[in-house]
Order: sequence, then C-alpha cells, then structure tokens
Amino acid sequence: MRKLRAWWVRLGGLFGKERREHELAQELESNLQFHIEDNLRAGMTPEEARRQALIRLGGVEQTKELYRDRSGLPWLETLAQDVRYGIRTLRKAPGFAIVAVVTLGLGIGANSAIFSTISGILLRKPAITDPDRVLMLLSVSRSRGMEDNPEQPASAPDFVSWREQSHAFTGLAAMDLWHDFTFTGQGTPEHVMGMRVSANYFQVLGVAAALGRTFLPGEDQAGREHEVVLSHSLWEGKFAADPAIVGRTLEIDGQPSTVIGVMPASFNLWVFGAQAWAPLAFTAKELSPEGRKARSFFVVGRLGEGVSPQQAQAEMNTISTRLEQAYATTDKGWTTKLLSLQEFEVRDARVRPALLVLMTAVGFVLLVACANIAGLLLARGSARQQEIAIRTTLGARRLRLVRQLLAENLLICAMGTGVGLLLSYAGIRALRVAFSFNEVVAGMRFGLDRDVLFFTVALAVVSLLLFGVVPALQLTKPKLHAALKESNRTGSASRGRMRMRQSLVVAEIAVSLVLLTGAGLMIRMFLQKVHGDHGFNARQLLTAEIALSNRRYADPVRDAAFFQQLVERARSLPGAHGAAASSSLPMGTGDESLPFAIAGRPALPESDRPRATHYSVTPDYFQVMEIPVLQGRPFFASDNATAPAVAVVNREFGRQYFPSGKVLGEHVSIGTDAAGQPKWRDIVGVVGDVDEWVGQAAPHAQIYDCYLQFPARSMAVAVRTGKQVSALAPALRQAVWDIDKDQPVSEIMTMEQVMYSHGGGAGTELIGALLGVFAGLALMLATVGIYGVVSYAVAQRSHEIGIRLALGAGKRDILGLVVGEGARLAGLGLFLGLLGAAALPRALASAFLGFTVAPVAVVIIALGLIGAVALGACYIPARRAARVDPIVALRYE
Amino acid sequence: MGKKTDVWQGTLALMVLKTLEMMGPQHGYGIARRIEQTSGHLLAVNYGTLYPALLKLEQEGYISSEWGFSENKRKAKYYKLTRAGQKQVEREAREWEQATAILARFLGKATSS
Repeated sequence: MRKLRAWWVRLGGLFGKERREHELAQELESNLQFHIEDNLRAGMTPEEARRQALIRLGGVEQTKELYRDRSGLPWLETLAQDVRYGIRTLRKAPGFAIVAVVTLGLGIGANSAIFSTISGILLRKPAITDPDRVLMLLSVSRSRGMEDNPEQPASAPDFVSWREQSHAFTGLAAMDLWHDFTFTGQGTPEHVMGMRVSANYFQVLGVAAALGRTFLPGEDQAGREHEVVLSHSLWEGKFAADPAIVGRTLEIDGQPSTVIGVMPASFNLWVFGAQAWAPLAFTAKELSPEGRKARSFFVVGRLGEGVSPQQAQAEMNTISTRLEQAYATTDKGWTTKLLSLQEFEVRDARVRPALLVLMTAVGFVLLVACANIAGLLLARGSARQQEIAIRTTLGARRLRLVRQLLAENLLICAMGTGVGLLLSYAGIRALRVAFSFNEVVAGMRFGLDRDVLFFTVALAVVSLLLFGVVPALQLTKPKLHAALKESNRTGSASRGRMRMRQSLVVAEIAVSLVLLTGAGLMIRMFLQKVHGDHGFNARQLLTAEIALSNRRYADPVRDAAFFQQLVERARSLPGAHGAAASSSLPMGTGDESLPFAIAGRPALPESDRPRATHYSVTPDYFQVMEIPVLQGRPFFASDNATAPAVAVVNREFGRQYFPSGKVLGEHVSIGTDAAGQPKWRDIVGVVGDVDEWVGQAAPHAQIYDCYLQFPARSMAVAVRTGKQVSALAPALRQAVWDIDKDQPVSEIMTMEQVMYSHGGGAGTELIGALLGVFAGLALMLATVGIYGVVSYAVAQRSHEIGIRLALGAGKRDILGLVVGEGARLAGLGLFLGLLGAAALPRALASAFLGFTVAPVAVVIIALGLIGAVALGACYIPARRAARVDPIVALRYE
Repeated sequence: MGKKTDVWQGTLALMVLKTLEMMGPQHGYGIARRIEQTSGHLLAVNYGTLYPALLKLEQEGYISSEWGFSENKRKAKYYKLTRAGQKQVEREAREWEQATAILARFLGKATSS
C-alpha cells in the first residue's frame, strides 16, 4: 500500500521539478550552515569549519542526482526524453515521417476494414443456442438441368418420413421460407416477409420469446394455426413497441390471427430474413403421395447429444436410399445433404467468392505497404549510420541508442495506427453501404473486429522492429572507425541493405502488376456482363413484383383477370410505351426450373426428366421486352383458356432437344392435370436466349407458357417507358390499388436495379471497384518505393556521378545511368508480376462462374501503366542527379 | 568496532523514524547528528543517502515536512512523524526485537554449548 502511495507521489513528481531542485538546494545550504555553526562552536576557525562541513556534506551533485531519481520516475522521464527526441528527428525528416505514417495507415486501415467485414459476414455464428449443433437438411438431386442449383428444399411427405425415421436429431422442423404475409386492416396494406414453421421450430433453434410465447406442440395443425409471432424490429417499427401486443388480433392474409409472442432483438437469422412466424399446417394435398415431389419446405434440425454431423449425414443417406426405393416415382435420384446453418447462410448469400478475392487483394496491399516501410526504414538506417557511430564514440550506451530508435519507430507505429483506425472505421462504413444491395448483408451488424486490429497492428510493429531496429543494432556494433570513415560511401553493410531495398521494390512492382491485372479483368468482365447483351432490352424498363395474397385469389381465373386488368392499366399510363407481365423476370429472382416431357420420346419418371426454366408471360411480353422471335410466332391475345394450349421455347431449348432443327409443331408437356394426364402444349414459336443472371456462361433451356392459359399467382410487371423511368412508379402503384386496394406491391425498381440487386451485377461492380482501389493503392505505394530506392541510390552515388561529370559525361549519360538502373528493377518486377498475372484468369474463373474475359489486352495495359509509372518515378531523381554540380558532388561526403 | 561504518541500508529509515519519535520535529542535519550520537559515533551518516531516504519516507507517508525557522532564525525544512509513521516505528521495532531475540537464541545456544 505504502509503495503504491510512493509511486503515486513520484508520478506527481514529474511536475514541479524546478521548485523541488530549489528547495533541495536550500535544504542542503541550510544543512551546511548548521554544520558550520556547530564546527565554530566546537572551536574551529571559520575556514576550517567550512572545509570540514563541506567534506562531511559529501558530493552535492551526487546527492542531488540521487534525490532527483527518487523524486520522479526516472525511466518514465528517459522514455519521455526518447520520445521527444524521436519527434524532433522525425520533424527533421518530414518526408520520411509522412510517407511512413500514411503507408502504415493505409495498410492497417484497408486490411482491418476488409478483414473485419469478412469475418463479420463469413464467420458470424447465428445468435441461437449452440449454433454448431443445428443443421439444415437439404434435398440434393442428380438429375439433368439441376447442376447449377442441386440443393433444394424437401417436400412435406419427405419431411414427415425424415422425422419418423431419424434418430440423430432431437427435433426436426420444417420451414416455408420467404412467405409473404399480407398485413391488412391497418392503413396501407403491407407485405411482411416471414416464414411458416413447424411448432417445434423455436425449440430446435433453442430460442425463447422475449414477450409472450412461441408455438406449442400441435399448433401446426389445420384449424389451430391462426397465430403469429412477431420479430423485435417489426414490433418496434409497425406496432410502436406496443406492450399490450400479445393477445391482439391482426388481419393477416385475410384471416384474423392472434399475436402470441415477440422475439428478442438479438434473434435475427438474416438468411431467412423473417419478421413474422406463423405455424405451418400442411394441407392434405401437400401430404398426399403426389405432394412428395413438391419440394418447397426447408428443414432444420438439432443434433442429439453426442451425435456428430458425420453420423447424422450417414443416417440421412440411409434414410434417403430407403425413400428412393419406397417412392421411386418421386424420390428417385434424390439424396440428402446436411449443412451447418452457417454454411447455409454463406452459400446462399453468394458473397463468398467476392469476399475471398477481396481478402487476397487487400493482403497484397498490406504486403506492399510493409515492403515500402521496410525500404524506408532501411534507407533511414543507412542515413543515420554516421550519427549513431559518433554518438557511440561519445559514450552512448547501446541500450539507450536502441531504445531511442525503438521510440522513434513506435511513434511512427502509433501515428500510423491512429490513421489506420480512422481509415478502417470509414472503410467499414463505406463497405456496409456498398454491400447493402445484398439484402442478406444489409441486415447484419459488423464493426471493427478487435482481433483483426490487433493482428494488423502487430504486423506493423513486427515489420517496424524487423526493419527499423535490427539494422540499427547492427550499426551499434563496435566497428566504429569503419563507420566513421565510411561517410556515406557505399560500404559493405550498406550494399547488403541496398540489395534488400532493391528486391523489395521488385516485389512491390510484381504485386502491383498482379493486382492491376486482376482489377482490370474484373472491371472488364463487369462492363461486359452488365452492359452487354442479355437477350432483351434492359434499359428504360420499370418493374414491380405483385404477389397475389393466398386467400383472396385462390382461383386461377381470378388471378388471370387481375393481371390482365393491371397490364392494360399499366399500358395506358402516361409515358408508358408498353406493358407486360411474367411469372419471373430475366435476371431477377423467383425463376422456376420445371421438368418437362416431349411427345414421341420415351417417357421418363419425373425425377429423371430434363428441366427448363419456366416463365408464364402475357401475350405482349416478347414485344415489350424486345426479345427477338426467331421462328414461328409469339403469343397472341387469342391464346386464351379456350384455345389450344401453346408454348414458346428459346433457341437453346431447340438446340438441345431438337437438334434436327424442326421445333415448331412439336408437343411438350409440363406437369399433369387433375386427372393425372400430361398437359400438352403445342410449340408455336422460338425466341432468343435470355440471361438469367449476370455472368452466366452458357444459355439455359427456357420455355414460355401463355399466362392466359397457365396463370401464376405472383407476377412481375414490366413497363417500357420513356426517359424518366422511376417517375412512373407512383402511378403504377396506384394502378394496382385501383384494382384492389388491399394488394401490396413490392419491389418497384428499374430493370437495371433488378439486375444489380438480384442478378449479381452489383456484387461484380463492387468487387471491381474495390479491386481498382486496391490496385491503385498498391501502384501508389510501389511508385513511392521505387522513387525512394532510386533517389537514395543517386544520393549514394553522387560522388561517383560528380566524377563522371567532371570527366566529361553529359547530362544525358547521367540520366541514362539512373533511369537505366530503375528500368532494370522495374523490368525484373514486371517479369515476375507477369508470371503471377498469368495465373489470374484461371483463378478468377473458378471463383466466378463463367468468367471469360480475354486477358491479353488488360495485361498489356497494366504493363504499360506500371512501366510508365516506374520510369516516371526514376525520372525525378535522375534529373536531380544530372543537375548536380560536379564540384559539390566531389566535395560531398 | 572502532571504525565508523556506513549505516546499513534499510535501517536508516527506521533510525530516522525513531529519532523523530524521540526528538519530535527536526531538520535533516539535526536528524543526522542525533543518529550519530545515538550510535555512539560509530555510524557516519552519508547525506547523499539521507535526503533521498527522507524523501522516500515522505512519499510513503510516514513523515511530513514543513519549512520553518530554527533558534538562530535560520530557515530549514523540518520533518515530523505522522500517525502512520508512529505505527510503523512501533511495528518495525517489534519486528527487530523479535528478529534479534531469535538470532540471540542461536548465537546464545552456540556459545553456551
């Protein structure tokens, strides 16, 4: 305790030094006087008294020094001294200081931002109990046409079979995901995204309600399912956090439902994006034998005690085989795959490859930054060689010198970290905004990850120590006379260091080339994919999603009538050039892949049938979307419910299934009617291929039904407009409400926005932009690096240059000498970089499906850019070298 | 022991405290003289260690200091024992007595046997 008090007082002793010194001096003086008096009284002469007293007092300076040490905290004071000295030296070399701090800040900031974002997205654990024990059970098909998307949900009968037969799970719950609840009766009708779930869903996840309760067993039976659980944000947003919400009755999907609970704010599984939960009661149709092939329910389960995921997977494989044999018509070719909830989240987000690319890129930038700093420090070390030698000669202890260098480096580190912190906060903010197109990511919370920050700061500190202090340690070895004599001429130690700097610069250039090429490729790919031809005219197209609520429009005839009305109204809106509707938009979401059969070919069981992407469209669709009709005819208004069923296929369909070329007049069937007979359609037309997502490599087989004959419950309306596309949005919304005031309209966007958010366009653009930024950063850093090395080399050789000039070399020759050296470095770097860049197209192709940009042009541009920049960086020191006055150079040591 | 030896480390603090307890407030020189007297002039106080020691005691809160005037109207810094210092003196004195008693048994036993 006392010690603590002493320390505290000593800390305070850092201030008020002068006063204390003065007091001590006074005290010692009075001591002396007392002694003299005593001596006088003892009979000594005044001089003798004084002499004896002085001798007895001892060394005053030593006393003062000991006192001083005791009164403050000496090590702290020395540290402060070192820091002050460090600040002074840094101020004398502002160029070095600024470059080092900025470089470090950029490296740390960019890295922390990216890695924090990535760990936030990729590595988050869902906020449920023991998330590692919760698995998603997906059905996987081996049939043709499903290779792009093999993992599917399960059917109701399959789910029931799984539940009955499996022992590996304590509970399995089925989910009807992305169910649009329509909340009416309260102001404007509103779509709320939610899910219908088995009664044990919340138990499987291990979460309890914050208010009220979740579902009880048995509430997922028909008749008892008019209940709803709300999410915390929905409760706060739409119901103003009403404390009496539990027990209230709301009108949902046209039926009264009781609110039985509210989930806590922490419960937010963003992959499901649910704001409300209702019990899932399977209909008789869903549970019927035919219902076994309607795979629309996702299944989640919690592993039992001591059961490993591998054991559960093995058990599910056995069960699937059993089901395949028992129900060959529906389950043949289907097996089960178990994914952890996290894997499912990330896989669905389609963000992973992009993030991995980003991580690599930013890692490179960090490397380049470190290399730069290393180079800077090495140069600085060389420059201070003489200073350190002199100080050692004057008696400075090695430890003290090292401590001072350390302080200086730590100063840079501290400032760099500060800059880096600011940059990373800004960077994370920007990334969050930029990624918000992906609704999945937008719902997540992530911030600066502490581990990431520690890692990058640690990395910076290590590189600082390695390149700042270790060379300095070398300097303080007792080779003093050599160092003193060396006087900035190239000695053996500096030659080694020079080599290092050169290799660092070569590495920087190589990395920059790789980065620049990668960025260029991605940007080019983006431009091609988004602005290129997708098979239809995506410009000036306003779209809206209309999902008819389940209760009101259970009758296909009413469905058809609604959309017919809507399309007519939309067509007559002021500024509209045409309108059409489709069950799903190209490049949007919600497209279905359905199995079909061709007349005259051997019948296959449904699970083995090929699949094509299916659209149900209004008659004007091809004309409005500007999809070319290649053979036959498009749909007409006369292709209605009373006319014979017709279909239109795309060119790829014809190419794959009718290689002879005769397509028109063939018959194709999709699905069966009530009596179990296949519903045949007559192929009357062939249209051009349409892309389904950005970056699609090869066309898919596509088949179109006429909406009037085969209506769909939810359609997307597309309106071709003039200049002001979005201006039509309110009018469109009003047109919907004129027909049915309780019909919510979601996602009114231009076609380009649809492509961005759903087609994957935004992701590619973002990655391209970020890569461009990183490449630019790396380039900038590499430029600084080259400049540093070359100008330092020039400074080293100014003596030699002076001699050359004196002997008659022209300015041109000197220029050539210096630039030549820089060019050699750059050339080596570019060569190495080419080796790395050559691997890029393949790597990017595996990360992004269908990557087919020819790399040659991009590589040439990148080469040219970096080469030019490198030469430019050499030029300035070269000019300075050429302008050197030979007399000065000869004298300069 | 005829030669004057330097004061053992650590014991100087105790001697200072004891001196102040016996003498009341005193300045640095006075404390030193008193210590030398008490030791029978067998100890020589080194001022280089005395003043830092006084400072340490003050930092630890066992003594407090104040500028005042001596009989000869000379300005000097007087040190005084605090209550904590009083307790410390008593405590340390006890400990020393115990230590010497134990040691005495060893040494006493050795000589007696």
